[in-house]
Amino acid sequence: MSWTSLVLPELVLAGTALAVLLLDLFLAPDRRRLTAYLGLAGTAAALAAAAWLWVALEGGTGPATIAAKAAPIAGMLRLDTFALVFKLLFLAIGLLVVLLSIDFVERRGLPVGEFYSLLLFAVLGMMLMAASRDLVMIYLGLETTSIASYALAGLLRRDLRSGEAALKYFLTGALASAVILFGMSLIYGATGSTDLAALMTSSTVRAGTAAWFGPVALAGLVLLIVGFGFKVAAVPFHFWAPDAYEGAPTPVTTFFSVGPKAASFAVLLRVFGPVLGPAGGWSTAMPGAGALPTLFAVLAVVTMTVGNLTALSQRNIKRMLAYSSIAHAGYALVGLAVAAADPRGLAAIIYYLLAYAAMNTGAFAVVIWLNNRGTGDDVADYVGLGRRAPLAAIALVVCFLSLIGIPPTAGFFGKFYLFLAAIGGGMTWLAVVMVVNSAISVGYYYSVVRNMYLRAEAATEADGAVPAGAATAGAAEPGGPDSPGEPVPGTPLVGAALGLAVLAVFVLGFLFEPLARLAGLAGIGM
Amino acid sequence: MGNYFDVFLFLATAVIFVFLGLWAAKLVRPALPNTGKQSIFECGERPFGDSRLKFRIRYYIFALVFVIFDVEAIFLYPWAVVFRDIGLAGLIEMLVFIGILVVGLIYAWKKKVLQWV
Repeated sequence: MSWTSLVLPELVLAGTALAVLLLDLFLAPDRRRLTAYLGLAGTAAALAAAAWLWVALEGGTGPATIAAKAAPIAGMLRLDTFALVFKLLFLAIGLLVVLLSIDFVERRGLPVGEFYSLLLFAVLGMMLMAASRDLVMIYLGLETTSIASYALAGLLRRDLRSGEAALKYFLTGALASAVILFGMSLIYGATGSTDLAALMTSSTVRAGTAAWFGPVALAGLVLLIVGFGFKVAAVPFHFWAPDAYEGAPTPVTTFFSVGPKAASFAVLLRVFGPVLGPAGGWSTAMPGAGALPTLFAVLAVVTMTVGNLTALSQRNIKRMLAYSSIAHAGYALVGLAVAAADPRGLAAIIYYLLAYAAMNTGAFAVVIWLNNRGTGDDVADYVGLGRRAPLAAIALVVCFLSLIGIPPTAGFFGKFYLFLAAIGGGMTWLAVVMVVNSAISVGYYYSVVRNMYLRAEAATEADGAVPAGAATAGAAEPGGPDSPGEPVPGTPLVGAALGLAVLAVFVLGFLFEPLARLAGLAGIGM
Repeated sequence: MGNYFDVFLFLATAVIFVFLGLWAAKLVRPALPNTGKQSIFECGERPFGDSRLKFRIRYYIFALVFVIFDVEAIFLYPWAVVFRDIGLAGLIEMLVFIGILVVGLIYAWKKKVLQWV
């Protein structure tokens, strides 16, 4: 198989992104929707190409065959099960976000060509990140994603908060990139290589001969943790996330909360999987490396606790979901904390990221769906939704149940797998912290559900009883075309994306066993 | 550490030279300060006016487009040097690279960035 077909999904995606940009320039303003459809078709084609690669390469599965198939491309990329799983995930996310965006972009007057080409370039960068086998390539992929993301956050040009989101995201993102680069330079200095595989072998050699190797390489690794901590919004590097998520256009927020976050986790797994992994790797070679699992554990506990506790007091649903997304990064970090003791930790993260992408995209799809009909983004605006938009309300409940971790949804199995890994890895206390946090998270998810169903009648009564003009705190007046009591009509594209996401929440749950095995293979194949 | 001794020597010489020079000058020079002499020397200008003023962004967009093609030229030189060795594949790769930049140029053109208004 030639190298062009090995990177076919990336080539298709890059070509589409450029074509989208060009097509938009030559279309009359009222036919801009074609641009969006081109982007949709290109993403679907890239997804099909990735699926074809999957079928072609994964004919017989097993660690040995996968290692043989893990074809290096130009010494920079690696096409193994791990990379393919993540590429399929990212392309699926891209497809859903394009579907979610079409109506929103039109309604809010976002620049069409720029929006879709930036989005596709960001997805391209994520795919490169997951497939990198070299620190330099990781950085290139990261920057491709990040620079496109900064611009995406600020595309609502007349909205001050969108500008604020872009600026905050850019400044903290640039800082994180600098920290990551510094970490990479230290690792390169210590090992003399940027190639992830060569770096492992040379590190074991140098560890025996040079006393400075341990501290320098460890400092580099810790800096990488800090930099990617920013990117996945782990506490204490999370402060940019709520503002960026709230101000960015909602489909872009959806993308941020699942896309770049999952890609950054992919890089963390690529770099730290072998470091912490059962093979020993650097852990045996470095004096201080024994502290890395503890560091991840502390990061995980602080991240999920702060994320969940802060989410409790949020009034804006996008902010609330931002803190919820911080908390979920904390859950995923548990897998890294126990990876040294239990190889299932890595697999659990991969499965959790799949589940999280489905359920969080679903939750945001409802927010976009309502936003397109003129409903505000405050939790108070969701009063009576159970009656006005029953399908959307049910979909949101399903996604929230999954985010809390109630069976038979994907979120339950994701957490279950992480629990297993945590207990198997001898960190039962971490599993207990996760359970307590899941219980806390019920509080804020439930407040939305209560608004949707239980407060419906109260709000309508208040509307009827109180004379017009006397606004009470209990009665929500979203204003615009969507007044309470009037049924909310759906938009088919967003509805389709929402349906797909909700379907995925169940399908991923029912397919837990094969997917977990697959995630395990991907973890070993690294 | 032996190799670094020379570096430290240079560093020490540089530091000593500065203070020695200033101290020697202070001994021999007459002290007659005035406003002109005490103004900032080669360390920027005294700010005047309000910093929140309107300025033309167009110039910076021109500069950005220029930088892209500047970098393209930097890439073209080494490519031209090894062109015989890398053959057709190298030609195609460079054409793809230039093609991507041309898309950027078309974008800037259609967005009327190149018009000075």
